[in-house]
Parts: sequence; C-alpha cells; structure tokens
Amino acid sequence: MKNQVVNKSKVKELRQMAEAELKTRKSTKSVNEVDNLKLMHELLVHQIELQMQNEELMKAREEAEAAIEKCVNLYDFAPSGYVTLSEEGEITNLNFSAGIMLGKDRIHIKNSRFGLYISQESLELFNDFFERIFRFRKKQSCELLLKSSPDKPYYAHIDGLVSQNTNICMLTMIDITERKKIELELQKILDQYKNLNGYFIEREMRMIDLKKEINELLIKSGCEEEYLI
Amino acid sequence: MKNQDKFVNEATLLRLIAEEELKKDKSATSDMVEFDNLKLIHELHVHQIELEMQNEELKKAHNQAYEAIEKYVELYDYAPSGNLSLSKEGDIIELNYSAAAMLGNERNLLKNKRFGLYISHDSLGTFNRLLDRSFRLKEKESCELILLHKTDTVDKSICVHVDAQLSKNASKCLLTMSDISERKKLEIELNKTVELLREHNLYKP
Repeated sequence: MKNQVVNKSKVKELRQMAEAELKTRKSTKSVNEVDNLKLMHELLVHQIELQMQNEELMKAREEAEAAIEKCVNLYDFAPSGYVTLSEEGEITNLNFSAGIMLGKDRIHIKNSRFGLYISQESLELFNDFFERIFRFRKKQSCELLLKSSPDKPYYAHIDGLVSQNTNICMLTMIDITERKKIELELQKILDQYKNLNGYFIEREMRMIDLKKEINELLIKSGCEEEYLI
Repeated sequence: MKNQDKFVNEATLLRLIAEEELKKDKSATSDMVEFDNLKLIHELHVHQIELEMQNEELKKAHNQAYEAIEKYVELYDYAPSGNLSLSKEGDIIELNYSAAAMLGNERNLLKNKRFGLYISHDSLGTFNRLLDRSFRLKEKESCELILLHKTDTVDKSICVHVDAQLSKNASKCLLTMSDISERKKLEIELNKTVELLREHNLYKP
C-alpha cells in the first residue's frame, strides 16, 4: 500500500521531469503531416523498444533483489559471529551473532573500534593477531577474552583473513567459553600438582643434605658412612 | 427555357456552395487531425523520455544491487571460517572456499555430496543429532566434529567446532566450521598430564 503511494508520486515526478526534458529537446521547425506520421511511427517503435528494455530491467532488478536477500540471510543470520574490520581496526560490518557476542546492538557497534570489546588482558594478543593478518595474508587464529558481560567471562576463538580484492579484514568468532573454563580448571589442578611436586622435591633435597651431614659427622667421629647417596 | 436556366443556375450555385462548404469542412477536420497528431506526438515524446529516465534509474539500481551482491559473495566465499548449507538429508547445497579446504576437495566437486562422507565414524552420531535437532528445534546448535581431510598428499583428521542454525525459510541448515585442531591437541595433552599426575600421586591436591 505504502509502496503504491510511493510509486504514484514517483511516476508523477518522472512525468514532470520528462516534460521538462522534452521542452529542451523540441525543435522549433514545423513539420508537415507526412513527417508527423513518420515521426509517430518511429516514436511508437522506440517506445515499444524502451518498454521491452524496461521490463527486462525490472526482471533483472527483481532477480538481483532476491539474490541480495539470499546473501544477506547467509551473512546476517549465520550461526557464527562475522565482523569486518578496516585497516585501522574499525568495525565496518557485522552480523547478528557477532552483535550478541560483543554484547551490544548491531547499529551501536558499527564504526567503533573492535579493540573496545576486548578485555585488557587480551588486547596485546589481539593487536599481534591483527598485525599478523595483514603481514602474512593467510588465515590467522587467536583466542580472546571479550568484554561483553562484566560479571561472567566470554571467550572467543577468532579466525581472521584479509580479502583478496579489497583490503578489509574478515573475522569469524565462535564461543569457546565452556571449553576454556574446563581448560582453566585443568590448568589450575596442574599448577597445584606442580606446586606439590615442587614441595616434594624440596623436601627430598633437604633429606639428601641431612644425610650428607650425618655421613660427614659419622666420618669425623671415626665411624663408617650410614647412608648411600 | 428561362425557368430551366434559372434552375440550372441555382443548382450550380448550390453545388458551389456545397463544395465550398465541404472544402471548409475538410480543412477544419484536417486541422483537427493535425492538431491531434501533434498532441499524440507530444504524448509519445513525453512517454519516451519517461521510459528512458526510468530505464536509467533501473540500470543504476541494478548496478547498486550487483555491487551489494559482490560484497556479500566475497564475505561468504572468502570468510576465514568454513561456511556450508545443508539440506534436511545432509547434502551440501553450497559451501565456501574455507569449507572446501577443510574437506580437502574442490568446491564444485563437493556440491550435492553428502556431508557425512567427510566426517569420521566416531563423529557421525554427533552430526546426525545436530542436524536433526537443528531442523526440529530451529535453534542454534553447536558441536565438535572430527573431519576426514583426505587429499592426494595428506590424510589427516581435523577437529572443527560447528555452529548450526536453520535458515530463515527453514529450507536448509547453515553451518559454520572453525578449525580448532590446535586447541584440541592442547586440551588432550593437558588432560593426559593431569590424569597421569592423578594416577601416580598419593597426595591429591
């Protein structure tokens, strides 16, 4: 309905423009009847040509619009986060999943720096990753802690690549928070074992030292060594 | 005779008048026709220019659409992650270059192939559940799969994280795959180390 109204006013506007254009094109010389008929015939032929061309263009436009919709769906509704960055690291485009991952509305994120959404501890990693993407022009990966929610951590695995034709950087992000949590848990246990082992080694070394001391004292007092070290 | 003459004269006169009248009339209609023709020509001219302008605009719109398509195609085709669309039966409808590289084959040769052919036996159950849940529950689903990456020179497996989501019209399932082989290797190493320590240590932290 709204479209129809827009179309009507558009048609009217086109007509006015056409009339104005005609005024500038019209020659002043008068034409006789035969010329008129010939002219009319030519005009009719040309008109049909134009109408055919017009129809084809309309069809092409419809096809293009359908193709765009398909592409937009593939990009916008992709299950992973897609972000494109300029050479300066500014977000030029992103899809819905990426918006959710970065914790803000899509519109508010556009044109802001991607670095703003990365936690302080991961910033250096990201800068290195971003630099590598442009230097090697091959797929690069990294894992970053995002700032999307202040109360719980959000870890993302990010793949990045520079496009061939344009110099834009394409990133895809997936959520690896759960597996990162398990990894951190395991790392903690491992650290505890390391500490424990360190403690045991220290204790063992101390025992060896003591045994050495006892052996020395025994020798000094004319006895034989008691411990084999 | 005189009467007859008079009659003849009158007839000639009448005829002359009629002819004169007709001539007058004719010139009037011809004037009308000419006027109508001019009007028609004007109309045609206007309409022609209208069409020309409309065509220009359509061409412009078409070019813009084409540019947008090119942009999106590049974003899809050359994305660093593997993008795939699967039918309900698990056939590959479309895929990008990264996905083709992960599956170890050319893009064109992979179209219409069954995705399951490229998944390790151990991961097949996980994949079937993912596809089934995606089409049934229409929510985003994730899983981890082991892909068989077989080419003439390489025969290895790749560990990928998969996110799946049904397309808007629910006709196909959109998948993105990220290679997490490196991370998986680290996880396995870490797990092994911790298990080993658990087994051999009398003291549990």
